[in-house]
Amino acid sequence: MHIDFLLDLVLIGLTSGCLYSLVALGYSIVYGVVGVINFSHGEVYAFGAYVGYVSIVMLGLPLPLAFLLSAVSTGCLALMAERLLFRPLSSGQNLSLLVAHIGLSVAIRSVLALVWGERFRTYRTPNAVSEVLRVGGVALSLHHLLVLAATALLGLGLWALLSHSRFGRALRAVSQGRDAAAAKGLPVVGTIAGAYALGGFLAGAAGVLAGHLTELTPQMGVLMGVKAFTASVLGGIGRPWGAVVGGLVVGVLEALVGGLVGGAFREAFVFGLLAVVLLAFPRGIMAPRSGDRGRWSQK
Amino acid sequence: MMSESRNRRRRRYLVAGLAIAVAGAIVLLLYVAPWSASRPATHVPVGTILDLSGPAASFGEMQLQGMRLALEDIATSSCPYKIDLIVEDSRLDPKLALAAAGKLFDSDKVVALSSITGSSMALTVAPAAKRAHVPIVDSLSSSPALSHDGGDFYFRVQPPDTYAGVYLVRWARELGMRTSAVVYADSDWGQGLRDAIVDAAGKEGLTVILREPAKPGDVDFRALLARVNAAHPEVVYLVAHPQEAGLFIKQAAEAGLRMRIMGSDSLSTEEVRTAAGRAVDGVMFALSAAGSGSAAERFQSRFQSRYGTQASANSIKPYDALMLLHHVVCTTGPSPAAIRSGLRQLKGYKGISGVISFDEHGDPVMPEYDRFVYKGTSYARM
Repeated sequence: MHIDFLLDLVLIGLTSGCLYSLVALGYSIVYGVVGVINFSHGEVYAFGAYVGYVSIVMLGLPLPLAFLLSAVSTGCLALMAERLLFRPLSSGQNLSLLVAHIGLSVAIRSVLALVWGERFRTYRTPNAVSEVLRVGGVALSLHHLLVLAATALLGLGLWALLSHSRFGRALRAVSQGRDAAAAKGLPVVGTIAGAYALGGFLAGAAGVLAGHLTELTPQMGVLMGVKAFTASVLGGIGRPWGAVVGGLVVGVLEALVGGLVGGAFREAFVFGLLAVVLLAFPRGIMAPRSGDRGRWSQK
Repeated sequence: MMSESRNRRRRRYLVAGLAIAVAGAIVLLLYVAPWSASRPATHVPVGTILDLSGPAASFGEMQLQGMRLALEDIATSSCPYKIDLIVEDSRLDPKLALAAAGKLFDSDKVVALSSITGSSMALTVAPAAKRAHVPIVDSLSSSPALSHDGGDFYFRVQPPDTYAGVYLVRWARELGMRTSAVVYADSDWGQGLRDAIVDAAGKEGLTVILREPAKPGDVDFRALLARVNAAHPEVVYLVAHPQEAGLFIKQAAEAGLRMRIMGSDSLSTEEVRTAAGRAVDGVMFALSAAGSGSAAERFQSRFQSRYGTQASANSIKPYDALMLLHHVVCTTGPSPAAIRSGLRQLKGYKGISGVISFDEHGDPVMPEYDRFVYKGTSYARM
């Protein structure tokens, strides 16, 4: 087997993995503070991709502005959902919150289908074909490089936010115990809202990046949601950096399976991986072996 | 006291909600009533089940464009029978197609169906049509399975893909190619054409190195492309639905792959051009013959002036299918049994796409193909 072929697959997997990581971060951050899986997160990603479509194709905005607009819009959407839907239900059973998340996901998908129809949309104009960069025998389009670079920048920003800001410290404290955080005078409710907004922001960013690689359909969030959820479970749900590693691992393994075994097995592999991880590593592969004091104990 | 007033308010809301629902239902019934009014005996109800909002919507739109022109010609013809076309949207979902067929048979009492988008939809609807004794004259469904599984109420003006497979393989051999890969839609149509290509390749000396499915709805073909590239085929037969085909072509260009891509009617669609953009340049495909001569030229200029674009076989075949059905109705009468018998006996009907007769399976005899190649983002006959 030629080494270029394997390198090709790894690079393909890394670009997909970057997108999975960004979306998986949202799952992890929200789970970390609320303790419930945000099942509407995949659709928030799809919403971001469509905002990118409006910005780039219909309004003709430059990419950085469209990127910002999409990420901020999805952040606001998540914030609104938290304030109007999830917060009123948070005092009850987690089951109600779970149903609300699922309901929101169906609602977003339906609205996208109603407004844009089931037909696919694309960011690309007929004459826009990405330039291809060749390094040895490996080819990489500029769109893929864009995804890698943007994810690296977002990762850096996120690290700074979580490690060196009051919000990051509050997020960690709330994830380790709401009552203790409240006793210390930390704004628990605001922190939870911020977690949703941050997750939404990252999902929107992933959506607009994915829009450059693929086509948009109202269903696009479903599979992404499953894969990103798998990534966050793989990395240990509630652990942001575990989600990043999980996303990259899922992306690379998926590309290797698709390239070496065949595309028909790709999704089956992702679901199979989820089942195996849940059986063998219930707390994820990034979980510490002992002394795990909380969901965010590992930074 | 508080809870009593709340209950009263709830009851009031409930009554108001019910009143609105009932009023809505009445308005809906009043709106629908004129549609179900009896139609004149010379107006023959015919159904069509197209994909108008699903993944192959461009096919459905092209089919409808051709059928609209046919309806105009039927309206001005000297035959006393006119056709009332009832259009249903399947969204390329066999379940919805079957539900639409049930509505057309039971509620609209159609005497025939003309044109269904997608072989899978046709394979689902044809047995139901047979049970309801309603003949079908289909236009674009090309799965070889329909020759047998379509049943004896199913006729089509589009040849089965067994012919297309042989044609595409011979075309590659004429260009001196010896190795190929087949990327196919995981559907009845895709698997049918894949098998036809593989069978023909075995007989014509073309090696098929790789067969890979492209699942409907798949959006990431980069790993598949790396796999195809590693196999080094001289030609890739792309038998995917338009959306996936366009994305495959685009991602092939973005991966820097330079390979000859060939296919059939799915590559002629707007979705492929939109998704692939400039990368579609050089892609080749064969379409079932769209006709030539003065009748075809007149149709082309009329189509161009009406829709501002060139008519392809994807519009011409549905036109022919509906005109042929009308011809049979005018000859034998409008009952489903008479139409079916007329279709069985039909010989040498002169359509825009050529002379049409049906064999014992309801397939057209002596099919022909035209070759096309993309230059930039538009295609031309070779």
